[in-house]
Amino acid sequence: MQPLPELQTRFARALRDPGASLPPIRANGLGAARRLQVYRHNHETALLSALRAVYPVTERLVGEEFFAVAASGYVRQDPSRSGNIQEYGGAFPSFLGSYAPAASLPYLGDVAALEWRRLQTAVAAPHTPMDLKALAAVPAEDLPELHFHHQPAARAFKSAFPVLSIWEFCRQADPEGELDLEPGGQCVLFSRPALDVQMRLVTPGEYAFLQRLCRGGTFEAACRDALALEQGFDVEEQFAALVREEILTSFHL
Amino acid sequence: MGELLERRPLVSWLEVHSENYFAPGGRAVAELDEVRRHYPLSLHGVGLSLGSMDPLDEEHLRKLSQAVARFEPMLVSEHLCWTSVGGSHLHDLLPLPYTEEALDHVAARIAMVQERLGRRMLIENVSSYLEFEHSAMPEWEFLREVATRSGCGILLDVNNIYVSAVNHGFDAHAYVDEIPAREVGEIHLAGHTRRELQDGTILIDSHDQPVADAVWALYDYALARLGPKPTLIEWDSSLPALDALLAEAAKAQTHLERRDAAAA
Repeated sequence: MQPLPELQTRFARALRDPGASLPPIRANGLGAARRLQVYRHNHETALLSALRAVYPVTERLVGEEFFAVAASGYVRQDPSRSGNIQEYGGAFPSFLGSYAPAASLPYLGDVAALEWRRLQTAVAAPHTPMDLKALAAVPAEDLPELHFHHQPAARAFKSAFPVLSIWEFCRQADPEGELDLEPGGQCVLFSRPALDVQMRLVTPGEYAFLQRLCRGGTFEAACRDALALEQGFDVEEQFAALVREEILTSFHL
Repeated sequence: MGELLERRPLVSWLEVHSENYFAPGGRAVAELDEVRRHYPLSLHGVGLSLGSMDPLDEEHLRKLSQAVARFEPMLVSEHLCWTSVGGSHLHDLLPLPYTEEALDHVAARIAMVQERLGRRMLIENVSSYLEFEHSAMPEWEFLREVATRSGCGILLDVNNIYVSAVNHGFDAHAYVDEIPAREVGEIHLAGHTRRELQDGTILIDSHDQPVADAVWALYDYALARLGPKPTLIEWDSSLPALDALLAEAAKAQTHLERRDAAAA
C-alpha cells in the first residue's frame, strides 16, 4: 500500500521520465507501462496544444515539427504552475531566445514574446476611458506633476528586430515577397480599446515617454525621457494620441 | 460561440470549462456574458485538482468564485481526480487509488470548496486507463462515498463509465446500479476513440466524435434506473458544424423523452 503523497509524486515522475520506476499499476490485459503511456501522451499533448494555441506565428516560422521538438524541450524545463492551462507558456519566448537549434532565427524569441503579450492584452481587465473634462480642468502649472494610470490591457514591447513586421508577414495565409529585416528594431504598443487587440509601432521617444508614465513617473519626467531620445518629440500630439486611444485612462497629482 | 449567439438554437442549457473564463476581460468572457443572457449555464472545471495532496490553490478558487458570481451558473462541477503535484500541473485528469485515505482526503477537499463557493458541487467520474494495485473498493463505491461524506452531487459521465469498464473489464451496468439516483444532478455523454494495440484494446475519452451506440444503450439503462437527468453532450475536440452538435443534443433529448413516455 502506497500512501497518496508518494503515489502522486511517483506517478508524476513516471509521466515526465519514461525511465523512472512505475507506480503500483494493476496489470490487467494491457501492461502497466502501456497504461501509463496513455497519460504521458495526454499530458504532453495538452501542453503542446496549449503552446500551439498561444504561439501560432512562431510555429509558422519554424514549422510544426521543429516547434513540437522545441516545445517538448521547454515543457521538461518549465512545468505548468497553474490549474488553468491558458496561463501556461509565458517563459517559452525566453527559452526560444537561447534555444541553440534556432540560432539561425535570432528574432524567434521576440516574435514569441510579441504573441505572448498580444494574448495578455486580449484577456486583460476592461477599462473606462479618461475623464476628459477633469483633465481639461487641471491648471497648467499642475500638469508637469501629474501621474497617470494606463488601461490594464496596454503594454509596450521593444525589440532589436522588426518584430511587428515579421509577425504581420508570417501571419498572412500565403506570404508574398520577401521580408525585409533591414529596418532594424521596432517598439510595439499593444492596447485593447474594446474587444479587439490593436498593435502599432511607436518611436523610441514615445516608448520612453510611455514607459516612464506607466511606471508611475510624472508627466514632466516622461517628457524629459522622450526629448532626450528624440529632439523633435511632439509632446502635445503624442500625449493627445495616448488619451484618445484610451491608453492613458486616469490621472492623479 | 459567435454562430451560437447569432442563431440562438433551442437548447435548454450550455456548459463551458470554468478555467476558459477566468480572465478578467476580453472577447471570451464578453461572449459568455451574452450567452448567459439567453441560456442557463453550467461551469465545469478541470483544474482544481481536488484529489491532489498539494494545498488547495487559493488563487484558482478565487477565480472560480468570481466566475460563479459573474455568470450565475445553474450547476458547478469538477472531476474526481488529481491533476497536480508539488505545485506543477499535469493538465490531465489523473486517477486516484480507491482507498480510505484517498476517500477521506478528497471528500474533505470537496467539502472545503463547497463551503468556499457557498453552494453544492457536482463531482464527475473520470475515464481511466489504469487502476492501482492497492485500490480497496470499486470506483462506484468510492464515488458514492465521496457524495455521502462531502454532501456533493454526482455528475455521472456515462461514456466514462463505459470507457473505464472496457479498459478494466468491469460491468458498466453494475456500476450504474450502485449510483444513488437522487444524488445525480447531471449526465455527460461523449464520443470515445478505440485504439487497438498489440497486447489489447484501449478506449480513450476523446470528445471528438459522435456518442457510440453502446454508450447510448448504457444511457438508456441509466435513465431507466436514475430517472430523467439534465444531459450534456461533450464535444470539444475536432469540432463539427454547429448543426451536427445540435443533432447529437437533440438525440439525447429524444432518449430522455422516450424514457419519460415509458415511465408514464
